[in-house]
Amino acid sequence: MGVSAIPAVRLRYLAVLKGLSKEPNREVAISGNTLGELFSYLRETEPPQLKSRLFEEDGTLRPDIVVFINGADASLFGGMNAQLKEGDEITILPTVHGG
Amino acid sequence: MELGDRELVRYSRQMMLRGFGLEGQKKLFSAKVAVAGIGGLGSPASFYLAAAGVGYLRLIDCDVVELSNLNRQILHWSNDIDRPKVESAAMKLSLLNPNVRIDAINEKITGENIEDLMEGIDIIVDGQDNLQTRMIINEFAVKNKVPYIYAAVYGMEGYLMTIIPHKGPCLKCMYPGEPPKPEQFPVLGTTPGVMGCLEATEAIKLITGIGTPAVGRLLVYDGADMSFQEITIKRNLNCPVCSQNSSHTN
Repeated sequence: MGVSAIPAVRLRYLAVLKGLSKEPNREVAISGNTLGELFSYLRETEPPQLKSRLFEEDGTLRPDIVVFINGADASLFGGMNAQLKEGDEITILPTVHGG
Repeated sequence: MELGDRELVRYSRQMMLRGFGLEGQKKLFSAKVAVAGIGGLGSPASFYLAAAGVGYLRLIDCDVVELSNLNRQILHWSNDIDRPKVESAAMKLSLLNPNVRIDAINEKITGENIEDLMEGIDIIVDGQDNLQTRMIINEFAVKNKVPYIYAAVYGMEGYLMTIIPHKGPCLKCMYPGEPPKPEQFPVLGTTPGVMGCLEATEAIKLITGIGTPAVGRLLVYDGADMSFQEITIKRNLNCPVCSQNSSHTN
């Protein structure tokens, strides 16, 4: 888990990301309190297959990845600057558009 | 309308459902449903809607049947290759249930023609293969207060959410960013089979008034580990499509 225990958020991967994560539904404690800091932590710690599905080579989030904070798109809260608090649920899933 | 003896037999098993009955069947017969795309999702969705006795189906698709469609687009068969999908589908659905009026419209949905294509429609069922067109449908649905049942698939995964304008989030609330470009996607045929059936279920529920639709809930189906999960999706109070500040609601 992270360096300090502030704050602890619930992280949930869905769809194809779920199978790429060792623990697709878990509590994560991060050292900072922004979504960007959570993703810095994930960039360092997630398995390579999951990282390559989540991030571009330059480390930015791939455009087809959607992040929800408590059910609302993270961009509505400032994207990577979104402030996280204890108990927030972060859901990460790919956009799906086939039919 | 009166249902004849043969219709009463045809629909007898669903009319046994609590809250459905003859009244539910009459509501289905009076309903006008558009199925926007007759591919992997639209095939099973329109099949079950026709079987259930929805009175009017408007099938909209601009493509012809290709060999690579046949692993999943179950209304199209080997001898339909190169035939317009809407014709292929209309023929099968008419044989399944001659009581359903079917319009087959061989057109691409655009921002310019959607008002005409959806005129008089009560519910729109999603059979699209790209997010751009879904956003056009979503805007129309919100503007005209027409329920829109969204579903999409990739591989062995599928998403579904029922959009009832102004009662829950719309598609733009869920995907506020720019839609990704359409691309060829892997898909097991059963995935749109599952999701198309769920779409038809939602449409039948909305028409008959039974059950609780998946409004504000994104249902995520994962065929690989055979699970369903859901995420609560919230309305974006500043949504450019469905918020009070948007041009569609003023």
